[in-house]
Amino acid sequence: MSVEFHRAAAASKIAPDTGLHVTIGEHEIALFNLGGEFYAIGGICTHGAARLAEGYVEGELIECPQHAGTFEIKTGRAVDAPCTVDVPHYPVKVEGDAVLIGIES
Amino acid sequence: MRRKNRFDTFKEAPNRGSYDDFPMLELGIDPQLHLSRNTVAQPFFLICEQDTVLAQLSGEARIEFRNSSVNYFNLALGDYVYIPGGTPHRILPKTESIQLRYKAEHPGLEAVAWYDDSGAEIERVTWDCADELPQEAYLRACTARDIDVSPFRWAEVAKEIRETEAAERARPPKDGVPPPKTPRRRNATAIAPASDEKPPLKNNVYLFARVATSSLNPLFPYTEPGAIVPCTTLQDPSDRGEMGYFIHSNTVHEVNVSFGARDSYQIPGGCAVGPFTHGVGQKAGQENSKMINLAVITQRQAVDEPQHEAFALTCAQCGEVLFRREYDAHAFPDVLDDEVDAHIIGLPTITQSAVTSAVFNADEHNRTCGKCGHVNSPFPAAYWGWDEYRRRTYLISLTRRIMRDAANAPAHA
Repeated sequence: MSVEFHRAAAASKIAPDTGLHVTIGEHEIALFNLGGEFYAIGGICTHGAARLAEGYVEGELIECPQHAGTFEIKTGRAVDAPCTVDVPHYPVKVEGDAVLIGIES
Repeated sequence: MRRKNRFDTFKEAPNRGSYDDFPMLELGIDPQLHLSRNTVAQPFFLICEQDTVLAQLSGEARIEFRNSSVNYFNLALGDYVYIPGGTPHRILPKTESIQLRYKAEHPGLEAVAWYDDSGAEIERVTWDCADELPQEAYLRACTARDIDVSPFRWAEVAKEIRETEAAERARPPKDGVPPPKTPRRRNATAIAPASDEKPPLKNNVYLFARVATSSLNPLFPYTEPGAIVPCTTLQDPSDRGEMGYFIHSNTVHEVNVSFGARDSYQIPGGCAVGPFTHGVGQKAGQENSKMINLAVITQRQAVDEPQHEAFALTCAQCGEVLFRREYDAHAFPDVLDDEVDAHIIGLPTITQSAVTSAVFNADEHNRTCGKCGHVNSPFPAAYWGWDEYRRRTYLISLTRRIMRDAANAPAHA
């Protein structure tokens, strides 16, 4: 299985400590800027149906806007209840102003 | 403090004082929640141009009215009071009272007033909330009347509100969330008096939820555009069985306040506003039968713009949306083949959910996933009670008309 990188967003469009919801094919992804480093995890909370990119960035955690469960932005690991199922995480690279997200193909 | 769409009332209340009316939620949330911890009598009557709703989260108090068919209500835990726009009212705590007030995001004109013993108005000070914060106006008006303002922190509170609002506007907008609108100054300079047709009303969450028939029950009969519509909801899957899971979309905010929860994502006194599109219920494999939660979910009906909602059911196996119905949240789906009495119209959110789940359940084709082929079970609509609410709305409307016709029959002429 190989990883194919897709252009997801302009880096300059994502302010530090905020997220952006992007869709690549069937993948709904939350893309975050943590102090200039970019990370991509599954965009939909595994507990509810909320978009994680609409939540609150608290340090290295994203708090779901619906029920306040949290996930690690760097890994997608579910940290706080009611979230118990991890979201996937995706490799990210930056080329110029473009943020690219890797999807297994 | 940073304003968030989630807070613990009992954790925040010790930081608040009498008539702080501090806006707790992010800018742009409508209705906004204002928190106070009242220990002394309100030194004026407050008049809001738009409807507000007061919720008592602890302690006991009294709310007095002027120029109203209602003189006063006593307040205890779980009481909600609907205060129609233009109604002068004043709070008199009997014990320390933690109160939340639901207000329109842009409240327009507000005023404070004083009355003599005969009920005649002595003085009124009116301001436009687009120009002046209520706390600044409280301080200005009370100081001008030589009222002792030492029990109040309005200058500090106003400063804190200005700082939090500036921080909110400086914060990068959340993805998918429109930036908050700037309040527009009103052309009017006086607040119209309240209508006799819409008096203040009180209901108690704990008493009402005992007799409520649905999982979403409006506490008050006011559902017109601009009305604040608090609805009780009681979740207890251990007693009533599987909740199922659906996705609800709304073009107005839903403000959720818990009045008692256990084994739930909510905490007692927890306040939360979710995204416009949000999951409701429990996903397959994530059920928690021990969960109980009594909450009040409140929305403010849209004014001068469409209000749309949608109800969607998803595949329990792969999450694909199977069936989605969009509806006008101002329209009552009168598929019961009879005229609906405008006095007892149902809340469209409930009646539309009833119709949608019935259509979904009636046809296996609607429940078969086009993506993975899984044939989903019917949605457990009985748990939510929407159809019961809709059926009773119709029957109550019908019986009211039968009674009216009987009273007008020739034998009684």
